[in-house]
Amino acid sequence: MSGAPSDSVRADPVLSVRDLRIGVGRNNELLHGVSFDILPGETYGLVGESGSGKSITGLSVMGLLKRPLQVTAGSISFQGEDMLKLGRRARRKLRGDRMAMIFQEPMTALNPLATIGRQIAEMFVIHRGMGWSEARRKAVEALESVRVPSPEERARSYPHQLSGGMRQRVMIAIALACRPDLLIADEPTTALDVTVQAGVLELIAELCKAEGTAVLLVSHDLGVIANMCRRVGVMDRGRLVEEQDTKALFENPLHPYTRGLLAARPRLGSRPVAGRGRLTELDEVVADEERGREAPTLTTPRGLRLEATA
Amino acid sequence: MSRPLLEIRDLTVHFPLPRQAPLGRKRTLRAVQGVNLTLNEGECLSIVGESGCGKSTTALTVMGLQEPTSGEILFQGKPLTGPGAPSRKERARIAQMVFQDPYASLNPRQTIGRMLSAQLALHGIARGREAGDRVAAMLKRVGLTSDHADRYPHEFSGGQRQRIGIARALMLDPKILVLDEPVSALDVSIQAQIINLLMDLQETLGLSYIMISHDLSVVEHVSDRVAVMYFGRVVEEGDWHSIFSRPTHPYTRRLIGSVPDPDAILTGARGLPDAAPVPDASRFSPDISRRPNPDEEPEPSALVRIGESHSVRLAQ
Repeated sequence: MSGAPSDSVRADPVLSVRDLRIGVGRNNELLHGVSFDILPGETYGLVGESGSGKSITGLSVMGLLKRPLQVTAGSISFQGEDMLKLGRRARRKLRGDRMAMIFQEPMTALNPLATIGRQIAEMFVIHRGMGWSEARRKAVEALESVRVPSPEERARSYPHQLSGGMRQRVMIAIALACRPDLLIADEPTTALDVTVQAGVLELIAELCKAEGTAVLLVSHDLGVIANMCRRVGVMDRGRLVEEQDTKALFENPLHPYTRGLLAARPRLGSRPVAGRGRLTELDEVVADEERGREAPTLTTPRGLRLEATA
Repeated sequence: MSRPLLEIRDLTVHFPLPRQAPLGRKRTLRAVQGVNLTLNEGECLSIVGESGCGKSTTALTVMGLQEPTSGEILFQGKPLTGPGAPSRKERARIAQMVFQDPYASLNPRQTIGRMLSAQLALHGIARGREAGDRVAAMLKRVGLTSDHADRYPHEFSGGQRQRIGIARALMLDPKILVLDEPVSALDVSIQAQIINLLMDLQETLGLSYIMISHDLSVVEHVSDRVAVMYFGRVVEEGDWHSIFSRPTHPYTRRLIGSVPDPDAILTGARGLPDAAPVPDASRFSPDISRRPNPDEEPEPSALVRIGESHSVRLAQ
């Protein structure tokens, strides 16, 4: 890929969310006008605390918001098409094919009564119109591509027979089966051990890079975000308070909330220098008034591609 | 020099596994195998490792919630397990547990005040108004207010519930708190508050902690000693500084190397500190390049001292 700045400016975003508002009815708004773009092949991170609205943002892009939650205003445009104007059928056709999702808890997201081979094969049958026998062969290939050992055998097992890391790999295989243009990963490694997490993140990054898949990564873990994302949006109380390239965000956070979030976590390797002191608490850094809902999103323009990925 | 408050000696916990065939061989899951740990007064001992490594089982045996297969646990030199073991009521005043999930570990149908004062009544410490005063004082101590006593768990946020969980554990003035992943269910911003609270309480009340965690940055910040467990065995043990500045066992190195650390990633300064030297011609045990089978007899190995209060498991 070329590293010219004009290149990234010219590319049309895969996903463009504008002034998205989600609420329970008109009066109880939970998400107050969130806007962001994801460019092709870009990994975009949404970070925030629980209840900040990052997961419902991801779900609304997929069209999986459950009542009583609903999009009350704004637009979600995916490859130039306004998702909110599409019918339910059309959106369902897109899901799993052009856009796919990885959930946090692989055990609850997989069907416990079907073999994993079948669950992957389903994608090819539904979206590619293959016959079952061909789809099963493709499913074994898909399992192989997510580096599940002895894929033929594993395709015949049920979700409960696999470890957490393996299950998450199966979810990735399902999500990436039809080579989607956008992958939404909602806390993909929160339920996993650190050593397993590293492998799963690497796998997602590698597969998406190979296919040029854009990723929306939702996480509360700043380490995971720094590891994976080129650009990061910070959410707080239903607002996007800040959006910057990853490096810039960590080096020069603009919003006091981001500064608080960065200061609050204990850092590996800080104790020999700083001792076993008190950790900075978030509300010592950011006052409640600064977390109001009307303030605009603080952003800096996207930097050079090469610099951001280096 | 602090004296040992709790000693875990050669602790082993096995669970029977179902036979694979009706007449197949008997299988046992070796959850904890020959673990020796010492908790000194006023210290925080952390046990780290991935899920299934036996760290929670070890903690449960300390709490008396799991019978050890063999080995013993001594509290101030007196056995906590076996024939001379104290009753559950006596145990409750020795060690208490703070659970990981503050949503699942509080009774949804009891007010906070009732939950906290029930322990006092049961142990005959205080009743009525006096119990109420003690509850109010404890709530204040963990950063809540006395009128929170009339509320139900669902009225609190995650961080507040964890404070209640800590208050519940402290009502009987125990010497030891077993913290089972105390902050991993909480948001980053709340984690800092709970860690600060735990460190304050440790200082003011002279508590000793056994902390079980997989979050190494929290472990580094809070612990005095660290034990790394892998498939039921302690593979490396030492004071926090030697574990984090000279991680030596390959598993410890992998664990520390897997922590996604934003600063290291962005500055490109990814790298582990050097390992401490080990005796020549020795091999680390177990071999982490393949997954050990937890229902097989492990290879003979021993924890070998490689520095002042730093030891690592080598094959024999």
